[in-house]
Amino acid sequence: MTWAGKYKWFAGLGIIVLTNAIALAGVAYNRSGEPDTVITLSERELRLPYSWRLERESSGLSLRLRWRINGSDDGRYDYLPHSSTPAWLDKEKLQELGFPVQDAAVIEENRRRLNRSLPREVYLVLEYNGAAYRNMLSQTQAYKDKQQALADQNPEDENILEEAKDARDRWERDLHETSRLFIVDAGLDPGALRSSYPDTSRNIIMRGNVQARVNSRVDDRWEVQGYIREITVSDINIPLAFRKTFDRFMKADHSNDNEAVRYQVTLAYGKRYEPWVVKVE
Amino acid sequence: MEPGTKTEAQQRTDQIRSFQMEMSQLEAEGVLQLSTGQQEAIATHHESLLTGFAQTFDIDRSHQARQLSWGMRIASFLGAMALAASVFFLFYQFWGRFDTPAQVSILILAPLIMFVATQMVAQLDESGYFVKLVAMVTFACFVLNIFMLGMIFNITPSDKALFIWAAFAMLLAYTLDVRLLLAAGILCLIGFISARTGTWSGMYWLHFSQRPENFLPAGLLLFLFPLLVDHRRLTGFGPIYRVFGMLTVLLPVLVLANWGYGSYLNQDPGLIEGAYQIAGFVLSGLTIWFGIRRQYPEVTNTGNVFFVIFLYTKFFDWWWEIMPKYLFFLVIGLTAILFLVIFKRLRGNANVMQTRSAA
Repeated sequence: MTWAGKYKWFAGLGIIVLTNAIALAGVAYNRSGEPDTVITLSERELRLPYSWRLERESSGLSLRLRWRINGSDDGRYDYLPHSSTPAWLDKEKLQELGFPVQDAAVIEENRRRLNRSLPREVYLVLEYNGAAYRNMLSQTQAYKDKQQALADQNPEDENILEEAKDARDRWERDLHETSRLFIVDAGLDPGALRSSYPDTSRNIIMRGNVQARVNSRVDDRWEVQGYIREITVSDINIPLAFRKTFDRFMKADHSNDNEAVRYQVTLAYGKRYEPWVVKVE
Repeated sequence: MEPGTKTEAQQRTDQIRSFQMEMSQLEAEGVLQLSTGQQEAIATHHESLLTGFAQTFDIDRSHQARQLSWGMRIASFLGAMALAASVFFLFYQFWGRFDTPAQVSILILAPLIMFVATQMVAQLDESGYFVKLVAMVTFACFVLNIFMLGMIFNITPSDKALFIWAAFAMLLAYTLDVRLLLAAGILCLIGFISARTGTWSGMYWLHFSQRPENFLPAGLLLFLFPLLVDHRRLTGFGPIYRVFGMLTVLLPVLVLANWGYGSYLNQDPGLIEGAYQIAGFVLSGLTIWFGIRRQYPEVTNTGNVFFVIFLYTKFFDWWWEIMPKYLFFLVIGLTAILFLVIFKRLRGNANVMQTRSAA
């Protein structure tokens, strides 16, 4: 046995104590002073995990932050935010975020370099129930009206009738069910982003990942596009003190009533742009 | 020279056992006959040595004891893994029922208590099997501690956690001579160094595994470390470093030899794959040579395995589609025979050199 020396004792205990002290000091720093954002979100933006009832091995509860983007397409595919490209995340913005976009749409070597680049960490601005959401609503409403007009003109065409019904359902969902939290901007300096988006009860700044690609468009032109890959902290832990609201849903036999769950969670984001729960109603 | 470690004591014990067997054989064949006095002197000396080793190092004195030791080693390995998993799931099962201060207290106290317990067991357990179990649970408690703190307080994930876990695992491994924890520490260290290497290119650290080249510096450092720092007093630490180092270099090279798109190099993927195929052959060849030269069997064997994998992967690329299957497998078989012939010649040469040096 090569166990020796009391210094090794201190080293082991020191690693445990010091690491915990640093982690907890970071938490205290994040929560000190005035929060960067205090925002109240509903079940539309903070979802119970789909499989949590099956997770019998865990007694904890985390809510998942649901974010969306206003796509550069006609908005029909925004339910796939990871594979859709926000209109504002263009070549100039990607260059600003540090991606090698120079001549990427023109020179093959540069195109290859950009397509091989991996996601970068940036700061994202999430807007709650603001212009981006209203824009989305008007898009889906316009699409719904267009499909309805088509259906009215072709009452025998089952495909068109089906399309019109889908468009109507989607508009209803956008109106009452889906998330109103939209990612509207990105940058490397959170302070500068806060200056541009000063409403701390509507705009959250948080860390996330962005990726750039050069894609071929329908007309054979190459176009530089950006994707939001993920937000860094998307699962928000619900402490025991706030669990009462969710208790009846933690029990069995609620397999299909996510929609029926109604709650509001107030989150605060601190100095390190990390969230914590302030209130649950 | 008095053995300082269990490994050295076990080596001496094995040497004594071989000597006793050879002596009996020589006596039976009438080549050598020691006097009764000489026989008694040797037997007494050996018995005193073996008794001392057994008391100090818990060595295996017989073939049967060695076989049982292997069973204990396997049981202790499986037990350590199972207990670590059990601790993780135990906390996971109940943590939601505690308020935040209680959660944090449990998380911090668990590794502290287990660390103290590990040291107490280390003083009592000469075999080292129970220490390995307790040390592994201590490490699991610490990993759980940091991981769950991140979850409870919604902390941004950081690669620094890997470094801290590596430091703790290494501390336990070096002070208690536990190879399992050394392997755990090395894995954490590989993750940390590779993530740091990846972030130099600007990527987010969690994506480091998408560029196999990120692993190369970590592999190189691991391979070189035991050459710079003497590990002979610790049981099998040097070979573990070397094998992990080789795997951390050769596996990414193997991946890139078949997936050029995964490289940092902004070249045609076919060209990149070709370059890494050549690098794979050269590196595995070099490691075979290095292993033979320095008498590191684990290096030679790992190099051999990778050389064969690189070769057969190439055969597959070239001939699987165009050759009838019987011919493809015939070529593989003939290559194996060719290898046997080459190794036989090399072994013959090595034996001749050994005979000459003995003469």
